[in-house]
Amino acid sequence: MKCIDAMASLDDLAEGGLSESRRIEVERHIESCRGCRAESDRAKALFALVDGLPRDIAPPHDPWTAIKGRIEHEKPGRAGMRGALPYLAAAAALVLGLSGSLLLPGAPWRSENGRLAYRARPIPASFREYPDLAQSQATFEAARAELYAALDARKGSFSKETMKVLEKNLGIIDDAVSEIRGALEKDPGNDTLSSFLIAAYENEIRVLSQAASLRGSI
Amino acid sequence: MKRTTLALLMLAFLASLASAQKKVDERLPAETDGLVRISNLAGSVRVSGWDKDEISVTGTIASNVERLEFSSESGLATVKVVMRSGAWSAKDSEIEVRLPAGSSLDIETASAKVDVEGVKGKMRLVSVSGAIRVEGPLAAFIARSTSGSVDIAAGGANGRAQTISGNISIVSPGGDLSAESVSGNIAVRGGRVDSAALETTSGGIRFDADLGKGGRLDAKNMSGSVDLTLNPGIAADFELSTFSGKIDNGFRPDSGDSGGQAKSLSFSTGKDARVKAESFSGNVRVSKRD
Repeated sequence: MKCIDAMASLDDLAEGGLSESRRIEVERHIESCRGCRAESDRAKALFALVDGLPRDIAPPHDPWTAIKGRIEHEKPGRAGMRGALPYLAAAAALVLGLSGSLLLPGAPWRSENGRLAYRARPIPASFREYPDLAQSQATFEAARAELYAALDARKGSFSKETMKVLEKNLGIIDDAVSEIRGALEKDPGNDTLSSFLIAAYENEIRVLSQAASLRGSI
Repeated sequence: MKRTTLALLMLAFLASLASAQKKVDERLPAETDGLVRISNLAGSVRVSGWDKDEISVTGTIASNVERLEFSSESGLATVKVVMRSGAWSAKDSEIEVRLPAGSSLDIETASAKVDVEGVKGKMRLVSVSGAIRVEGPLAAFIARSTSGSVDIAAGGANGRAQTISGNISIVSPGGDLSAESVSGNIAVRGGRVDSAALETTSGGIRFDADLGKGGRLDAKNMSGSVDLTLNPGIAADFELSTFSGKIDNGFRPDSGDSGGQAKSLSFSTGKDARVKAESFSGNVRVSKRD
């Protein structure tokens, strides 16, 4: 089957409107074709949006939505993130899978302050007495590393303006994380600070996911 | 001399060809409650609802556009500005789409601004840097822009708005609302929500709306301010906190504090709803609506 034939059937596939033999044929093609798979995921997400859930319309293909739900579910307690790593890693993989062609070609981007590259945030010694806090930090770091890698693979083709926005705003989050971590290092048992740190990390992951999944097929 | 003049004329002719825009004016029948997908990289997308069972596409498309893809079949319509293969940059294409008012929308742009009026269905609106503006009533929305603003008159609809640097303004939401940004401001005004989750990093949050019975309002940011204006008769449990900012409590002025570190304040005016507002270094303010 050629891509053009599969593409013509993707909406019907998403709606469950294909005959059994046609469905198998299209699914077999999708298995082996990344481009059609991405389009198929998009069609399914869109029909889910249109068909249902008027009170919870978070887009199913938004990796962060899925991650966040799992994180909330998995949270064992204060700042706890045990068990979230597989979902974060899966999200990063999903983002990589979603990344198709790129958005707006432009001149090669040169970062002005290096805020668009992954920089590990070491776990402070004072966190080690608080396993949940240390674990949550490690979990987010793993997700950051993967998402930055996904972004890095694409950023040469983003427009200069988009890159500037991303760099500036990831810098804002980085500053917030640094400030909160600084306060937490002095008071690692502070629940309020822990919740702020998690919120800042979550926002960073959301932005990275959003950036890495900017679609280029429009 | 003649040769130079001729060359200049040729260049001017070629330049005029390159910048030429094509006009479009097409119509197709459509279902009254179908799904319409629209995509256009740069320029603008204007969408309005009407009471006819057809879709009309008018406007101009840029010279480096290969074609306008327009189809409508079995409740699914597509309006797509297709760039020429290898086009280096997107030039502006301005398209106006009129469609049945009951349609649902799925719009994607890069820098093109999106403007929707009079469409009642659900919508997913995604742009990279284009501003998104919707004038309701609509059924539900997902609006996402990286640096463009999101401005939605929701007419009671629930939805989700996300930006990175763009400001978010939602007027008259209903049901469940969430809005997230990094450096953009979030403003919610009017309407009555069952739940609202508002979060930014450095932007400010302003909420001036009502909470339904059993409603929840969560507002959180890192360095911006949180400013909530609520019905004076609201019966809710309040939790206000800031690490290094100030709390200004208009419901219990005597319990407010200022200065110092790591403040939190909990009080209750009733059990119908829950209000939580947090900022790391910004100020938190709750006040009664006049």
